[in-house]
Amino acid sequence: MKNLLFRTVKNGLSLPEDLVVIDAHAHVDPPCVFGTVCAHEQGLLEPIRRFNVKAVYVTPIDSILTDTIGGNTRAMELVARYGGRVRGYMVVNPNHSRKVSEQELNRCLLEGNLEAIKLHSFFHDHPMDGPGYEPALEFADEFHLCVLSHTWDSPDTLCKLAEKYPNAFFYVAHFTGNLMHRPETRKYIDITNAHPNIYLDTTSSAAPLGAVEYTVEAVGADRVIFGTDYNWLSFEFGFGKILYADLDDESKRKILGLNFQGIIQRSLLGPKDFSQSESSKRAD
Amino acid sequence: MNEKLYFFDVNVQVGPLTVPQPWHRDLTAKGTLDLMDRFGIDEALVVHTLSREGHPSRGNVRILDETCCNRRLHPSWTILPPGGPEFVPPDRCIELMGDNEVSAARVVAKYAGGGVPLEIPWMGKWYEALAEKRIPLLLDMNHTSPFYNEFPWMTIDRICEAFPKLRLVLLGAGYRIQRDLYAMLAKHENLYMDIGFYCLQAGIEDLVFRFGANRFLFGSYLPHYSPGGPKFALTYADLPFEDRQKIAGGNLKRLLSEAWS
Repeated sequence: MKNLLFRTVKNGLSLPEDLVVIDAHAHVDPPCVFGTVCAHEQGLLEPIRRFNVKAVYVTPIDSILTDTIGGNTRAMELVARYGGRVRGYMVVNPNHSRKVSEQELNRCLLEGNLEAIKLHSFFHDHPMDGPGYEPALEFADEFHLCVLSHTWDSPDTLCKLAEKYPNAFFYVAHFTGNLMHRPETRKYIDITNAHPNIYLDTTSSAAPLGAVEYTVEAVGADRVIFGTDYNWLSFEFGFGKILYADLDDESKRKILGLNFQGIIQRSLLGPKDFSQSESSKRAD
Repeated sequence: MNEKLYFFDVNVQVGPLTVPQPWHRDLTAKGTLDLMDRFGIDEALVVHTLSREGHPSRGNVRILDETCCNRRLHPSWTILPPGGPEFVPPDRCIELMGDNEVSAARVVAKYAGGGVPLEIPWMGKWYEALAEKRIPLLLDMNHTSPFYNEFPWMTIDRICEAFPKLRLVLLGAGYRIQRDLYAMLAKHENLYMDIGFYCLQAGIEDLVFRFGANRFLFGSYLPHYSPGGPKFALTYADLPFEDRQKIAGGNLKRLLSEAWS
């Protein structure tokens, strides 16, 4: 049915069981920069239980701030503990040496259980096209991996990287939180249309009315990915703005899970071992 | 989850926008009602955009025209400091509010391009008059940001302390205020807020756990922002139906009904 999801949430009913939901932009552990309520590990399974979420892809706070290697280790431990429902990004800190970054990419992605790369040039104070990020982007290109970044500095930088690394998937965070009339927003839309390896995400604390719909109209539902910044920010806020959007169910299903599932399946890393633990079995 | 909540939105604007987005087609009362229908919002407390972006003397008249004879849209008036040439004194303004069934006031805080000084030497007469009539005062920070993470907490502390009967409502409070907010909510029973941008994971549940459900309101900031997120979060919150209903609309209905009493 075309608008079943909308009618379901408008009437406060239970969502269909066959809805595939993957939160491709999530976190874990409280950040120092603002107060949270429920950012601890124990809260990670909450939306999985309540809304039958297939997976949340997390980046621990330490990975993007003070302790990249320790944070990556924690991400691998979480993935192992929660057996596939919690999955993970590894982070490359561009201020580390090339050798350390390459070792870390191998440890987390080839030998470990993480599946994608997260970059944060704002915190790391390094340009996206700078040398510190080269090992990560080369690795993503070689293994057809998704690279999520908080920002890509500018549309021009992203355009250059998408062309230089055509097998990597470039994931633009926080896109639908932007105001759509701004020239830079339009430019991101233009380069997304010109490059099949660029995707835009819905993670944002504020949701301008119509922004998700406008983005889908501009780039197509196949190029939009669902994220929430959970469990710092509310999974429900992020989920609700998609479910209430003026889009048909097919588009919503693509955004909420099918698109990211497709990207991950194109990875050349091979099958991962998501060892089941007792706690994750309970979540099932 | 079969019980349907009744939504009464505290933060809706009617009227033309300085920077409309491509999908902003009908910004009249009719267009607002269409949006409310789409999202399942039953009633709304509305302000005219001219009151915020033009001048209250024009916007406050226009909002009466827009809401006239409509039982789903309830007007609020934007106020300016007393003692100047551009606005009526508080006592006279409150008389006019009563004559026109306006049960809430709104103040746009001082910002780089305009607004009002909130401190007591400038606005104290207003706070006193509104407190006496139990008319809620909505604090609108009018930042260019979609939501507000920088409230003037010391000023809010002084206002709430000096006027304990004033019902002060923070509009558009963002997720980054938690460390400031809790102390203020604990200290001042007369401090309220809308939850429309308070998008911390389990944020609404934790507010209710610590402070009860009586001081939180549903606000969307239509037509700028989508009510989808906060409406979904409240509808599916891990709270008893009674608490969710208070936040969805019961608390605002109570606040407005207690005005003038």
